Amino acid sequence: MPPLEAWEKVLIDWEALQEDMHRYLPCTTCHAGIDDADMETAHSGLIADPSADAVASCGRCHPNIAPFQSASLHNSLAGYDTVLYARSVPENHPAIEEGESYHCNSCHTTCGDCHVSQPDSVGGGLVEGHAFVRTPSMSRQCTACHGSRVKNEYTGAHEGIPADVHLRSARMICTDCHTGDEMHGVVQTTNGIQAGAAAHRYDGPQSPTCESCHADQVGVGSGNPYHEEHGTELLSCQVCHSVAYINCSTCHLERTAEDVPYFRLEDEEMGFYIGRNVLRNAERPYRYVPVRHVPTWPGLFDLYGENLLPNFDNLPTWTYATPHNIQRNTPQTASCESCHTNNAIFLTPDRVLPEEQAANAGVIVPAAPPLPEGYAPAATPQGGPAPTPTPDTGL
Amino acid sequence: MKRSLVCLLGLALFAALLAAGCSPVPAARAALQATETAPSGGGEARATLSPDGATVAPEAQPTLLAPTPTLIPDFNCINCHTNADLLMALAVEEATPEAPSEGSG
Repeated sequence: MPPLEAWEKVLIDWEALQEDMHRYLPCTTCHAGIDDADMETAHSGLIADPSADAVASCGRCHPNIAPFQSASLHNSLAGYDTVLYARSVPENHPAIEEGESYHCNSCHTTCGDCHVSQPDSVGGGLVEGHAFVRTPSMSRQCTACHGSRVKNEYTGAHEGIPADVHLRSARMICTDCHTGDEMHGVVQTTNGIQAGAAAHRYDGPQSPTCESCHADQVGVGSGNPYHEEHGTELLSCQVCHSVAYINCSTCHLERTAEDVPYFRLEDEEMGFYIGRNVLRNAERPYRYVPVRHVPTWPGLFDLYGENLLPNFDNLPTWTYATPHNIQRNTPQTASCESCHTNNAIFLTPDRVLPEEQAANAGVIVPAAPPLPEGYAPAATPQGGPAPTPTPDTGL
Repeated sequence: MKRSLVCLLGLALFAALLAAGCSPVPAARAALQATETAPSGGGEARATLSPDGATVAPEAQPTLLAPTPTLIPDFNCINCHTNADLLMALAVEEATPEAPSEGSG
């Protein structure tokens, strides 16, 4: 997505705005400044993105959303702090936060970044000439931030790997699964609505879930031999229905000769690996999940201080993943042997760097699970009775 | 008398543009330009660009609102920010040069 020219970013489409309820608000109501013909005077005190203070701006008319948005991960970026603080010590937090402010926080998202403009991470700029879009654009807003992993996986940008079946078969966009409540940090509970204030993206109930649409195809009673066999608590859906995704290593925080902060990844590798689920809980009961290498490393914040992540081994570098490249048929679904006895798709010890063994001790799988006792190749799920259930070996 | 004539001229031009299918804002801009550039008797040619939005071409606004009750919010803001040529002329390179960060999410 090419960045907009500076003038394009602030060009209002008058006709589009006429279709928008917000036309009833004078510009200065949200943006402050002064309605004056002189540009300098007009821009004095200007608030470029009023929704940076969601409650004071959008919240005046949207009190059912704005207060929650402030606590959402899109706004708080709490996921970064959660993992960085876990690997650090309190006295290092200010230096880490300084680094985040230069290299990470452009992913911070206001109401306007999804409903009026492109996010800052791609330079900003009005999307529909300042008309407010109720549903954000997948290409210009969602994947503007969620690009290298989600977008490339979902659209099949990686060579040899097809687009996600939800795109290929149903042309589904992000918001078909990811609801407004989820995006705004609103959690619907049985007792009502409450603010999310999630600590990271896998905190709290799963949203969305595959079962939301595929309830009759999941687990025991589904009629699908594989699903009957594995139930709903052994494997996440992605273990069987995801394919190779990108794994990043060693992010370097750097500055250009002009002192512009940026980040650079040392390595990226396509791969699919099944590991143990270290987030296992009632919401995500799976014993095995796909795991993705995240680009952290002990020297991640070296530009801002020495040894700022002294407790690096507190969290794994291979993390719970929900790749957006779902396929009905994958190498794993070809046969029982595709997973059982197939070490190639498991995060075995030899796949983990020596210096990361300790951090990933809870994720590493010693070896692929064996075939069920008495299993015979002829008794595949399609050709006859389902194989004997695999005993839980604790792998 | 002259000011009334100027207003009438502006309105007539605006109505003509509107009838020709022009979008409201360029039409309004033309009307404004007509009132700005026409000679005035009392040196008040810029009265239509007063900082107080309420005084901006008050007689023209009802026409602009039709057919739906649309407000013209802060006319000076709209007047510039709907003018691509003007914005291009005023555009300055952003202070922050491009940095080679790679993707995310």
